[in-house]
Amino acid sequence: MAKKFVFEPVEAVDPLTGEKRLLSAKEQEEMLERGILVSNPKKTDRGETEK
Amino acid sequence: MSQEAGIEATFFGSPDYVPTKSEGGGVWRERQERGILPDAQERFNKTLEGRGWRQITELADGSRLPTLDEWVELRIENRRGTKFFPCFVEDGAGEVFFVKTQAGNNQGDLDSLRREATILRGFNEMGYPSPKFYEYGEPGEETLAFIKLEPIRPEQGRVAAASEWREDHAVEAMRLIRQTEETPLTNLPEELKEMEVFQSEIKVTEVMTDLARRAGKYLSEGTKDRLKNLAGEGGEVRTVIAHGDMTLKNIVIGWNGEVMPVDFELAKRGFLGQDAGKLLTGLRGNREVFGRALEAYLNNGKGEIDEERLRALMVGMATENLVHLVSRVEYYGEGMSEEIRGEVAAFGERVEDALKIREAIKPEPN
Repeated sequence: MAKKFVFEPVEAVDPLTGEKRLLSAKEQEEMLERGILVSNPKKTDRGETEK
Repeated sequence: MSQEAGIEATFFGSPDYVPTKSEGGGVWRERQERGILPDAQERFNKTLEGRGWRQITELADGSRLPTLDEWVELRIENRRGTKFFPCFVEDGAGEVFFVKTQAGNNQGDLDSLRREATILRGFNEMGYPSPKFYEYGEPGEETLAFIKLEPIRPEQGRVAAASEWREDHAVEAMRLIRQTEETPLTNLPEELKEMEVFQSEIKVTEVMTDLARRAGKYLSEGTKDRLKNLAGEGGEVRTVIAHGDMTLKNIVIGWNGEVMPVDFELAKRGFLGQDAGKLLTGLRGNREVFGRALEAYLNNGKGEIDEERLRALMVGMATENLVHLVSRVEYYGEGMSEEIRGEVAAFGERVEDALKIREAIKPEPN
């Protein structure tokens, strides 16, 4: 079993206000459930994201 | 499916609904009780590897996304549904996708995922502003079932609370709902026409009348009479194409007024006013936007009130709240707690609100 996962509040640019704000754990979870990325994937060597 | 089961599925069929009396008892025991495959994570890895994909677990801002096993644990701890799990993957070319996968072996859930895939493909074909559907994967002996969709980028928009909705969002959402309602069922793609959910026809005024009776003492006789009058005023409410779960949580809104509904699991042949009623129920905390949304839905394009929609909307709003009220009354009976009693009273008040809105717009004839 993987280590227990807990969302940490993260700072993100709000698409509705254009301002940076903290996204709560619940908010992040609800966004992800609906196919909304909280932030863009990390850019790396492989394609656009980390290997 | 009976009408009653149909209407309850309309409102309670969401993957997040968990029976309130389920008992906890350790994540692993509960995993088993919920039918989560013990090797779900391994199967998911094989599902991805077989296609040359990998799960994205790290984002540019440093936040980490849960693995499948971590999602399962999170949902169990939070007493949430475990039918499907959201993951993001990238293919060999670095393209990012949203993957919704099933970690259990429940046949009903699998049917639901297949149904959603078919609906999404059909809605894409009709030009509905839904996320782009790419692929449905059948489960194998060592792999999991999934649907692959276009992800929604963070800059595109987000789900918002009623207080954050603007009038332009409300107008656009109602335009989309009206347009969908006016799309003839004969225009549905063939594979949707063949689906049971687009064939069965709900008789919502009959359901409303039955629910009002079953509410017993928790709804006043005066309210029951007004509902009976509302039902008796016209024929059965017209059936139309409906999203089926148009709550605020299932709508992504953007800065430029864009509105994109998500989660099409409950799309069906619904009834006129069903989607608008659900959306308005969610917006009721924001009086200005609520009023603008109501006006946008009811305006027949000539500055007049669309009488058919007004009646249908109120039938729908009353019925939705009656479903919630009656399900609690019948589940808990006389032994309901103060908290549940309060919820029942609140649903009763919302039934009253629907009747009041209608009477305010169109006074009852003396």
